[in-house]
Amino acid sequence: MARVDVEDVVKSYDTADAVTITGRPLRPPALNHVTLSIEDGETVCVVGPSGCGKSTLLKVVAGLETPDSGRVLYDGEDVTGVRPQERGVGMVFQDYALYPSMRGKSNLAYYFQVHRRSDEEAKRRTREVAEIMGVGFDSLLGRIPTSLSGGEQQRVAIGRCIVRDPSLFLMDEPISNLDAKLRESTRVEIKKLLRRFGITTLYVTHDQQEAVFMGDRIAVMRDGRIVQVGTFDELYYDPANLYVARFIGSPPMTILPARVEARRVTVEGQGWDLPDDVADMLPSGEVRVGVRPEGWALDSADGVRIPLRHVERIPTERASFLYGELAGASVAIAAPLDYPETESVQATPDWGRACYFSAEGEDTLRAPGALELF
Amino acid sequence: MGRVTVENLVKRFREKVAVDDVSFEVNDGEFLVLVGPSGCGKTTTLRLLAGLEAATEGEIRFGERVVNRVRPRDRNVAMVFQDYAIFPHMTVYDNVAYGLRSRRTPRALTHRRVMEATRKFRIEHLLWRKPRQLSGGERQRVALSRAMVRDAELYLYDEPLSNLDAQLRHQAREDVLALHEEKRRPSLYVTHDQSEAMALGDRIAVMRDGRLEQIGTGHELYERPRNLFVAFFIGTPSMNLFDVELRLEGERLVASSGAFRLRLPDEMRPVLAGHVGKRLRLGIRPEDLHVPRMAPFPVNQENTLRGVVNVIEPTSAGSTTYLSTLEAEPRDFVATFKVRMPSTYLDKEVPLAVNARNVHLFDPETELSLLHGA
Amino acid sequence: MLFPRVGRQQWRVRAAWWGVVAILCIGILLHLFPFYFMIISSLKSSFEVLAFPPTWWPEHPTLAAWRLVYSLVRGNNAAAAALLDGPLGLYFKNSLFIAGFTLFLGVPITSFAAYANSKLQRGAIARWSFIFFIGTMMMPDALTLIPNFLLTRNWPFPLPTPPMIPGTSTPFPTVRIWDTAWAVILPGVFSGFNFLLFKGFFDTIPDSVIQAARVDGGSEFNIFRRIVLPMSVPVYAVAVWGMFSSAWDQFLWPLIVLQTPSKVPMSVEIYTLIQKFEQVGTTNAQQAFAQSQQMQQLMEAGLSWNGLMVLGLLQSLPVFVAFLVCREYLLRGIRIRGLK
Repeated sequence: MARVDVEDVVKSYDTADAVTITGRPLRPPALNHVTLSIEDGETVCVVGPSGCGKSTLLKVVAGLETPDSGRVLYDGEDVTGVRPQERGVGMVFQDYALYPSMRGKSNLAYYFQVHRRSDEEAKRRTREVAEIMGVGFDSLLGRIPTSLSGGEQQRVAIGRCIVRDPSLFLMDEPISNLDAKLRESTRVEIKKLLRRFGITTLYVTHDQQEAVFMGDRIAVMRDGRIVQVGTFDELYYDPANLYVARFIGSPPMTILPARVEARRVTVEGQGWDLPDDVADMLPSGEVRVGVRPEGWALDSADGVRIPLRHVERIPTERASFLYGELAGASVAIAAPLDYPETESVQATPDWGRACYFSAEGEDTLRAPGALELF
Repeated sequence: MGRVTVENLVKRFREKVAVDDVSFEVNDGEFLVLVGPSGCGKTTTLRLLAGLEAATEGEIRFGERVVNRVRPRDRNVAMVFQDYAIFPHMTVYDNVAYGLRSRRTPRALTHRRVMEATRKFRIEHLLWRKPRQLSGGERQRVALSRAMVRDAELYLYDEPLSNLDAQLRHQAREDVLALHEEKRRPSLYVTHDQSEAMALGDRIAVMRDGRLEQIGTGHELYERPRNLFVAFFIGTPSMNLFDVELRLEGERLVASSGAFRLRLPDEMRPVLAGHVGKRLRLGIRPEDLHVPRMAPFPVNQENTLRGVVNVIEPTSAGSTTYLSTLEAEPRDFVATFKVRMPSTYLDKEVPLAVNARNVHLFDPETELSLLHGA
Repeated sequence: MLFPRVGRQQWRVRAAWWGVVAILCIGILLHLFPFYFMIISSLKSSFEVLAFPPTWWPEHPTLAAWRLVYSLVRGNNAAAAALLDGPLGLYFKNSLFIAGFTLFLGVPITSFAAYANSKLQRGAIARWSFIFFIGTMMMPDALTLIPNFLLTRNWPFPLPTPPMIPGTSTPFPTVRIWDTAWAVILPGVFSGFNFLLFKGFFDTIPDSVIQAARVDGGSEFNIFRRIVLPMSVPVYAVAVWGMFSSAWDQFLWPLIVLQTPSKVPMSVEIYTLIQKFEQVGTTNAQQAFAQSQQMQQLMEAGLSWNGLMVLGLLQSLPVFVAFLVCREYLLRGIRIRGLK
């Protein structure tokens, strides 16, 4: 068991991988003063678009990359200079990274061989892992990785990761190469494993829904910086800035340009009174208002008319989404599944539950905070 | 002009049958989605339509024209590939214009079309860039523009969104639909993600092992799946499946397993009369499990299922809860609620009300639905 | 995919198809023709070999040339004594020794260098060492010939005579490998081409596999031996074959650095024989009479270009055998073993 602290880590990569004689100027750092702590037994998901540095962060924690500055601590002990070989972490990779020339069994046994442990121990641990991993895992162990499907390869890779009883799990988009349907069952399987062992875990993904599912807390990254760390509710209802607000939630939040004046808000010439608690916190002038798909009142008397582009009906979610355009921004509105097919819809944003951002920059002026049901 | 018809299409690669007796038609202006797990033959079907593979048996007709022996370049088909298939040595402009130039379109017309398409997909500022300077989303829009400039008889999409980050997919879906709206020609879209299929398709065709399992609107597939595979494949989270025995207790039709006894509605009796005493598979959609106090129907012992909560996933509209039954060998199942399940219920035992009107029953041998047969 | 899979029934596609087939057939024939000519020439008599225009099929097939070469291999007879300084087998052994040690040292060194450059170095260091290694390929052989030659005389000084130790009149001590097999072996140990081959291959191994092994605790060498090596069998086969055939066939360099006749490899010895054959072959019968009695006998035994052809065939035999050994991998192309 371990607690992990990443303290003010900076990591830059030297230019491109391509061979050039002169080299191009340095890119912005992949990690730009990143600080993150993971409590003992906690799962933290790092989420962000591709190229935001989330995989680099994982590699720095694993020791596969050395930070330019800053420290990595396991249980308060500085391991920044310790080689990955000696860190005792377990890692699962996006492309499974099974040793292609070894059967499943040898893949699991490799750890014990290089650590000069006995064959009996390797066998015993492999048996235990097979029990944990459940039905059919035994039959995978006798096979060469190429003869396995993606899902099966990933099961072996997870088995290889837990066979050593690691103090820290590192997962680099472990399910994003799988079929959508397989992804669904595998993520439940991983989540149950994590809960069962209570191992400290750092989980990297680009899919915010996966992050919400896996993580006790979620860290949103952009351009080498961590923008916000928190639970789903904090990120969803209390986004630190416009970027987080747009990143979390699907379909994404609608961002409307608006004007606040004399406790009224105006969007494309139509005005509404702001609730008092909101009006108190907003300065007058241009703002941007973020409205969640479920944050609209449909067919309201004071609604603004929104021409629709199309209606997406999703019986599996018992909902349909209306996509349209308002004030130059694309709008997504959640509606009941049987909502009639129309050319346009009259809707009012729930101004009390909307997020307000400054017109320039991305700062949050007001966020609704967690939902109070009672 | 108009519909594309596929009749009894078979494709064999040496000993393997990739496409097995598939028939369907894509009507003029229809957007048909082929969905299935990897290796089910959906991409091969697409390649057969494009003319990249030769059909072993069967007939492909564009309107009245049989095209089995027509070369791809003479079929007048536009295709968007998963890896975008952009020519790396050409600028964006040349890439988009390629399809027109190779067909000797007048220069002025080519220019006009390219400008229109790239403006529509917001890449007009990138015209003179090379593909390697573009992000994934921009490349994908180049691929869409390339299809946009063509006047094809059939538009084919081979998982065009699967290489994109989750956050870009929403916009990309809209772009695909925008292309379809503009062209209004038969379109065939291949994906392994049923939620993508649900969001995009006018109709959806589910494939497995080279065979077409069912074709219909998303609503039809979801409400009346013809067999176990379609029932399980369509819908996220997947339908919960239980092994039950059908019994007639007096007047009451009961499905019972180790974990629960569920009384089935009386209307089902005529249909199920012949199956009393047999072992069947019972399917319950996650949203047909309700918190008893909030169930829209009377709750009693005969429609209650008990389980232990393993994982709670918060969603924007409520929560998804992963549970297991209280049997000696627990079975996992999933329930989705419109309310947020507090995490205090983790590892607790909870009763859930089953909406018995919406259950599905399958013959375990043939896997066919007993309630929604052909 | 040169041709569409669909629409092959159309006449234009068919015509193009057969056109390509015809061109490829001509190409194959052009490549096979030299072998054919070598074989039939070795079966001709020495007079027929010199006939002009050449005959396409031996008029009087004879094994004379093969018998002669066989006697050369056996040694201890008049023909061998006249032509060779030692038994032919000796030169064969010299060649094997040189080729064997070039492989034994060269394959590990080149592949280690490539692996280190591909997976262990990064950034500017990787780029510059790559350029350095590849740079060795850019140097024309003619340019390095003289410095290399001087190096074999006074290693590590590329000078005709070693410099004096400053302040004294004694020269620096130097290592002289000139006129030993090592002078041939050592410069051939590193091959820029094989480096590129290995590096290109190692680049295709996903980094994640190696990172996974590191997290598992494998030392870098253990990772190379247990994880990388087993998937690299095909590329090793290709490199071994390439290195062997170039070490076996090299000619100019051994001719320069090996002076003692008994140390030269087959390729050089065959060249010496060619010169002797040429003397015999190009002279007319009268001049031949003037030459020694033994030469005359050789001529009558059927010796000229036909004998040369036999030796040429013998010389290329080991390369062909090496090809058969590595055939599976050479024909299948280089792919990571165990990865799709």
